[in-house]
Amino acid sequence: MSSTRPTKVGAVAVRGRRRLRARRWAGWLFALPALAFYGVFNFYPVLLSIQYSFYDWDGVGASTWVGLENYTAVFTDSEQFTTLLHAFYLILFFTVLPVTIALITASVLRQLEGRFTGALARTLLFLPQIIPGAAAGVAWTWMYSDNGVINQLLRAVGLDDVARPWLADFTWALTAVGFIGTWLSTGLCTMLLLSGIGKIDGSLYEAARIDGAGPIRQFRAVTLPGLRNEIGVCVTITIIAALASFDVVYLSTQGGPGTQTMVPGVAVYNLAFNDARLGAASALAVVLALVVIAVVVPLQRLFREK
Amino acid sequence: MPKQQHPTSPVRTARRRPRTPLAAVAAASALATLAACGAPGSDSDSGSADATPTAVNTAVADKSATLTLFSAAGLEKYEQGLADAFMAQYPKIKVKLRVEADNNYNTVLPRLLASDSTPDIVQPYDLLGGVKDNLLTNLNAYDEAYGWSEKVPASALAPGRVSDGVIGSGPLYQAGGSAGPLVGVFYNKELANKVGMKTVPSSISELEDVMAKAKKSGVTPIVASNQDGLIGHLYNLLLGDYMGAQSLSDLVHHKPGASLDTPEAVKATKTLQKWIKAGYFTSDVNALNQEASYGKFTGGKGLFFFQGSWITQTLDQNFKGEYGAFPMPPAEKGGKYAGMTSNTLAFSIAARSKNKDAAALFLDFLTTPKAAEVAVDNGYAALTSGASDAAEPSLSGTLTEQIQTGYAAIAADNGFDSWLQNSAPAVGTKLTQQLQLLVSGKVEPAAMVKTLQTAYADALKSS
Repeated sequence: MSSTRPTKVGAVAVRGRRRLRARRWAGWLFALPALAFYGVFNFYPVLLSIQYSFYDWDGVGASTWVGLENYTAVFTDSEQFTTLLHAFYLILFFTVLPVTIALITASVLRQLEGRFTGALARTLLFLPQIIPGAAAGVAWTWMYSDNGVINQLLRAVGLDDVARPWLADFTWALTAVGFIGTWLSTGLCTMLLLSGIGKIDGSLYEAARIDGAGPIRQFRAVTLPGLRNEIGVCVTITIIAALASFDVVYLSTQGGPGTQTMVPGVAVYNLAFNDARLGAASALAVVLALVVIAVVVPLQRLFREK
Repeated sequence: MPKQQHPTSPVRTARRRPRTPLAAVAAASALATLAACGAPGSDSDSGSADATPTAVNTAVADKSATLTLFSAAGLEKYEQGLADAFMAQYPKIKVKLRVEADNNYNTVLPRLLASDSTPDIVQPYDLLGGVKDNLLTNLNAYDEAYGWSEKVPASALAPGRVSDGVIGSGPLYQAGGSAGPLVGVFYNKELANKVGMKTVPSSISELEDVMAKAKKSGVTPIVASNQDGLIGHLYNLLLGDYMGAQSLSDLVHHKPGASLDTPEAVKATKTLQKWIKAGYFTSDVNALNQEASYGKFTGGKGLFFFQGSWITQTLDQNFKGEYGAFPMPPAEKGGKYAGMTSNTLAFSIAARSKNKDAAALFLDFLTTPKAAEVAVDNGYAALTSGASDAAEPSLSGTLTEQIQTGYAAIAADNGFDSWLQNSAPAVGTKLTQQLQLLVSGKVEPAAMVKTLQTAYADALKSS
């Protein structure tokens, strides 16, 4: 700041500074409508949730101040705490798998760049992205059902013992739900990474090839470092989708069987709207938001461009 | 690696500067917000003055008004029928339906009732919650004006009375005529023939015999859905059988001292567990929702369907004449019938309704035979005074006749009770989870009953 400050104090400089300041406030004026909306529809509700989280309230009638009781419950009530663990398990399927698959696909597709097959493959990969999570949840329910296509395939190849109603299976339900997330996220990640690969200077690959680097070496030495930013975006978006998941889980299992697939998003909904416990729901929601921030902020730093 | 930018770099200055005012604004408005409003709900005194009207007007038939009836999608046809019949009699008053998905009805209702755009006529499951929060109208003045208490059987109005957080007596909050669903055993006629069911099973063990025979001949004994916890209908029927209708009702109505943690409830749970272990349900029952179970039953994929007669509104479209119904057999032969019902001809008036007088006229219309006729046409049973000499439940006769005789048989034994989940919303959530655990063999009956009792006690404590 000191380097930009004028060294000579004079009328011209003062007027210039004033104009500069005015222009700065003019910018805020332009942002005001958006800020007002943000304040009313985002910021204010967040504050309300924080306030509610200290009360025992059914959403309509009188409320009682309970201090931190709702927060203690999040960590001591095993049912609420497990939902957070489930959310972290989903990261495996919403983030790790899609990003890995997308990296491989994007590298392969790079070779097909410009050809018809390339365009076709890209379109097909991106298709899941235009289907809402809710619709995907319903469609996958059918595929996972006892007579669904997945079990039909398993039985067709003689794996009758493996076939089961996946979403009703205690051991496999959460994993089954996770794969819906994988299917949803992979297309988005592939598209992001493909566009990233396109920006990598072709001569780098050429130089690597001349130096005798095979495809795997090229991938590690050129593609991966070049995609740092894009991978960061993919990881951030999908981790948030995993931790704050709602639509897919709600429509495929509603958290069942038992509480095997209960995630914080669905638990918050249940507490708030089915059980009429707004305070407990708000506390869990606040904890979830803090968890998301705690996970995403360090990641942002990790992936920030050097 | 996080990399520190040079402190004087222009990028940093440009990004830092605006943050100060933003943070200040944010902090200021945060403080203002938290200071401005007191405890949540303290300002939502939803017109408790209006909740108990005293000066009521019954001469409203000629004043034009528009009433909104909040309906659940599964009941739309029936409630439209009531509205049409009412409008035919009182052409000046319009009744419009506002339809919500079945599983959202109760979720949305309290918030709607507290809002400025409340529907006038509603049917809340959580009557106690609605009364506690001053969302429903005390109908005593209308009762006096129209004489409902004289016209309608006391037993039909009792579930609409609330005093001190207990259902059954006191001021009237839900009123109308008297009709309700038969909740019992629906059966596929063709499969019943196939397994040789010749008469209505007269005890739980006779019912078990039929199911065992069905299982042996490759017929799935029970169609159900449990992703949504609807095995709960069967579970609730078993609870009523073993606990007795009165004990179950006491629990639902929050009668002091009522408890679920009883040997009878454990016995009912054990019976359900036995059927699960015997393979009477399909293995994917935890993954099915109600629509899927409708499809399975009409597709001939199972013999019995423990449900309520509201299903006829959906099933009759392509399965009419193919299925019949009888009441849940008593626990022991010669014992008392028990089954859940709810008065489908009784509604509540929102405390914030601006058309209370017209809405009360609608409730009065529900006490007439015309309204009862609409109910019967839609698969419900209406209790007539001559029901005591009703015929025994049988496998012959039309479905409508079977529903009427089944309902009358339960009524004759004073066997009507209610759903456990109606005792408190949180109990419903817990019940669904526990039933899924029971199906998967992850919980034992005694533990399940204890968990439900804890949820019930917790809910009562906070209400």
